[in-house]
Amino acid sequence: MYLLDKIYKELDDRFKLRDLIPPIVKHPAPEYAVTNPLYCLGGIAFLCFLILVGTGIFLAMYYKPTPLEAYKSVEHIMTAVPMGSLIRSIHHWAANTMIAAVMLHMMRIYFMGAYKKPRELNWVVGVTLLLITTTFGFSGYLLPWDQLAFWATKIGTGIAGSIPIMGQYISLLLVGGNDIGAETMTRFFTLHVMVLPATTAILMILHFAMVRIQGISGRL
Amino acid sequence: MEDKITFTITRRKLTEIFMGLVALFFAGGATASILKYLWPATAAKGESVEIKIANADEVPMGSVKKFMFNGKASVLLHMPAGFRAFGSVCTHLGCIAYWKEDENILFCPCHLGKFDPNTGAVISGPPPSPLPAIDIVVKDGAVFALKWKDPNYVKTISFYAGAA
Repeated sequence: MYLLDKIYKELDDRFKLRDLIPPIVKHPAPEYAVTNPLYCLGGIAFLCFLILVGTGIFLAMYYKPTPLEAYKSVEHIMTAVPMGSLIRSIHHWAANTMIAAVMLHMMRIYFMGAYKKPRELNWVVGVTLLLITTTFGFSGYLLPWDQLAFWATKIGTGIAGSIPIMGQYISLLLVGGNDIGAETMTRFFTLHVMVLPATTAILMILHFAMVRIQGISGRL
Repeated sequence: MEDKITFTITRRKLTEIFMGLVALFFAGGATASILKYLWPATAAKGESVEIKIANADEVPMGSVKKFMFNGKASVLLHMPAGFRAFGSVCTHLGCIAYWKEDENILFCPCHLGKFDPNTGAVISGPPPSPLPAIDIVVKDGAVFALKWKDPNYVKTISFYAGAA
């Protein structure tokens, strides 16, 4: 501990950490929020996101987003890579848990009326995060490139294609061609590992900053 | 003269508006380039072209040949009444219908849709509309696909997006 104290002191001397960190870390949550597990749902979703980022990075090291290699590489992760099936299973279950947690979190906010003024904007950001989370699930579903993945994507892009007027263009941009293939895979992969995580991170920072500035909404 | 609308504008304000317009112009250009980059190149070939499907003797009476037409899975059938060709993407949910010889139908395995192999019409099952027919021509002992028989119909089926 002495060494850690020393390091902290060195940094504190130079960067005034005591002005930066304590206001963030040493912030007591209200009693009603600490004792009610319903207030944990947002945090559970965030924890899931962190787990997904971690396991996702590991998966991306072996995964190959091409129609020829995708299924084989997933099979390789599941059967040959040490701890591979564990990593992928954690990714799978954390993804499912995250969607459930985000949904329940939204219901908690709705039924407790926590979205009301002055927190309207945070509600909007939250719903956007919910939509992004489901898009995460949808884009990740295609990546194993099995029958389930293919047909789920067929139906999903078909639904997007059934939007009046814009639909066929949206579907074309999503699919990247006339039919689901290599272009679709790379598009969904890029969405899944680059676009969506970055967007989610930015929106989460906004989400948390607003909670910190406005405080947790009181009890009904 | 009370109802006269007056509005004053300073040189600074005008300059700001012009700068805003210039910024919009560049932003529009950037957005257009990004969209153009993301737009699939294959989408450009919506025009139907004559493509050779098979030599006529490759497909004897009662047999079929699968081929791609405008990027869509399609099927050529040799029926007693002659050659027929249809897009084989099911109009229900986009699975691929195939030739089921024992029942003499085009059959979609996903939800048991059945289609007439002569007309493409729905016999039974959930498909809302017939399979789109492809105009074909037999010349020099080979079968060629020309175009969708009814491109406007093909445009209405979401599973044939970009094919007509």
